[in-house]
Amino acid sequence: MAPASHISFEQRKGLALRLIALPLLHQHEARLLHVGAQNDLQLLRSNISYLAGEAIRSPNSEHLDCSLKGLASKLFTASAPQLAGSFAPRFSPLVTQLTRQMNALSCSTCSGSPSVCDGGQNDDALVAGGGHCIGLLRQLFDVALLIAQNAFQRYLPAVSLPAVEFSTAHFNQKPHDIPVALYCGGKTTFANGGNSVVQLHLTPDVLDWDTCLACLYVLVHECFCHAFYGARNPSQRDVTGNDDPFTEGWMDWLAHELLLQNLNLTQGLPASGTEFARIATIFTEARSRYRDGAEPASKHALSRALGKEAAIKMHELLKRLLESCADALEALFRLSCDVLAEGFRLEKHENFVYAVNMGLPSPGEVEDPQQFANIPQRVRMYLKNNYLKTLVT
Amino acid sequence: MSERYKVLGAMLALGDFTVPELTQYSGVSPQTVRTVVSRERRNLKPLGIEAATGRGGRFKRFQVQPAQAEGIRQELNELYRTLPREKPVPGQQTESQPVPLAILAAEDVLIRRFPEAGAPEERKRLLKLAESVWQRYCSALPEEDLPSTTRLYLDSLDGLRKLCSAELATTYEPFFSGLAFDRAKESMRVVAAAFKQAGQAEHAAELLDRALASSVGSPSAEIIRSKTMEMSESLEHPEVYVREAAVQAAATAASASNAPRKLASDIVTRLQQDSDPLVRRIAAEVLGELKHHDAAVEQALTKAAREDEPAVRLAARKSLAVLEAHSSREPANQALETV
Repeated sequence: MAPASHISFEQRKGLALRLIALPLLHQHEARLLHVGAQNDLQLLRSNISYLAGEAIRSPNSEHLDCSLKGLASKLFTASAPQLAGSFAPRFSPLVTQLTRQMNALSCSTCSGSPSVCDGGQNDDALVAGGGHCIGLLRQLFDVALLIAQNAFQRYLPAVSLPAVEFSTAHFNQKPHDIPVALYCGGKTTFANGGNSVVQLHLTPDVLDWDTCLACLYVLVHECFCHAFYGARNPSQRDVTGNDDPFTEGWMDWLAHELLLQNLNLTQGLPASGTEFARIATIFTEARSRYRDGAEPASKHALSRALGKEAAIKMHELLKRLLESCADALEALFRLSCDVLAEGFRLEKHENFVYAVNMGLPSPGEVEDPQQFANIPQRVRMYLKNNYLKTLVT
Repeated sequence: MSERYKVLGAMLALGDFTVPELTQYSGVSPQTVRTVVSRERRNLKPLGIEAATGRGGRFKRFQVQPAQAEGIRQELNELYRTLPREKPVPGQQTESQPVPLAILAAEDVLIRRFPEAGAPEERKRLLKLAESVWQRYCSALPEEDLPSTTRLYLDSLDGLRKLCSAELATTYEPFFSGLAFDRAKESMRVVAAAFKQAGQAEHAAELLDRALASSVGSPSAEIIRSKTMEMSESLEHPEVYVREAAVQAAATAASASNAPRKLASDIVTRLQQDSDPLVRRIAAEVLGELKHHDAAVEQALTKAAREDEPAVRLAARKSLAVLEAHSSREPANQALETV
């Protein structure tokens, strides 16, 4: 079976530099701004950006670690004015850390053999096995997968989950049409063997710290909303598309909730849970914003908003049922994971979401007479008997 | 009043229930719930006594007697009309009355996704989805109680549905779909103008773009006149969207052809006999627009105005009102009074 694909060798040379630099710049930023070194910091950012652009033009014959070492040397030289200037004592720890980490990356250590990435066919396998050059992204994926796996194992302990592979892809433009300046997106596909492949989409040229933070939300979305779709029958599943209100709206709302519940798992990552949460909230809200935005809405915004609203209405219903009111959110998670793992087709997902959305009142509203029929009884039956087929018809 | 509404509603929503379950669902105090249950005792079937989980005593479980459910539903409808709700300011949508998201999403389905969907089966599915949304909200409240913007969006959804239906019918019968398309385009123009007047020019443009982007074209009046027989045959086509397009086409053709009475009679037959409520609704709608109406038309509409299908009922009532406006003959007046 072919390994999951990754960003090309040449692009990875520039990306590796950015992924080393961005967390360090963020870590030192407040301290440097506090002493008024914003110009020096800006110059350093510009130099890093320039060098990352230069890195992607280096020949394939130059290994990634050699390229980074060369860039470290150039960066050190380019930073000479700042290292000798009035903020030098505050500035030099950042440059030292940066160049040290750039010099520390070793392709042979990563691959565990003399065979290293060279732009050839073996690169994807080497990145899948090591991938030190995109280590930060890998870390984020591992956390996201753990969050999603924990949830499904908790709510559906009897279901054996398919393996999930990590993949990356390079985009020249913003990889989505959502009105938010975050340059990452995602896609999950299903391999023939039944594995899920979560692909992170990035625009390396404009990669910034907020985008790095957003990657965690994107990966949680992909792992929780898609990777375990049809888990009960993983060899016979097909993607349901960007207009699926259940995966893109309903499950996404829960993915955001799940991320907020699991911020403790972000320990060890180069940002606090609060920072990840802030960006995740901005991203998820922008996905389903269909009006009142300065920029045009995403073309899938209404499907997402419909699904999100349906999930919220279902949550309210579960609070009103004696069977689930003790922990309505927990009941919603279980029901939602169950629906996803069943692998219903788009048609069923859509019918279900529309039925819930039209069949239940918004929080705080009094239902119209039609909303007393159908959905509450179907949900009660599910809560009592786990009978999914009457819930999603 | 609203507490009784909530408790009766909770009874129907839950199917079978105890007092604590009704209390939790309705948000009404246990004492009021017990009072309503006690008053409704004759409509309830006892299912036994069970111990409550945790603290608390033993509770009787009830179910609404199946034969009484319809009566409770009717009472709920009546109570709902009396519930206090904000009256919309004409032409203005207040924040407390947003257009239901399902209507906006269904509109998006027909503006964007329907043209993108290649396979006729997928297009039919999307049309059916949009139709179910339209029906749901049209039958939820009397038209006069709907907020004005919601009504406008429902008109838009209906116009788009007709447009898409005509496009779909092209797959089977280009001639009739062309005629149906003309009518749909005209209703889109009217809706777009209303959106523009309501200050939503961008949405108006979006609707017009959608209508103009259609590849369906209309036939000349000469062709219409020469194809009356074929049109009558198409009214019995096995595909529902062709029948719908044919009914609309027949209404247009009735004024251009040499056999208007024959076509009107064919439409009446569709209203009386078609198995699909969608076709019956369209037939009821267009009968109100025909110039050649007679006793058979009025009788068919009067009967349809008592149908179970809310959308057909509504369309028939509207057409009867139109006919009444044209003539003050007794049967139409009687029909309106009885519905």
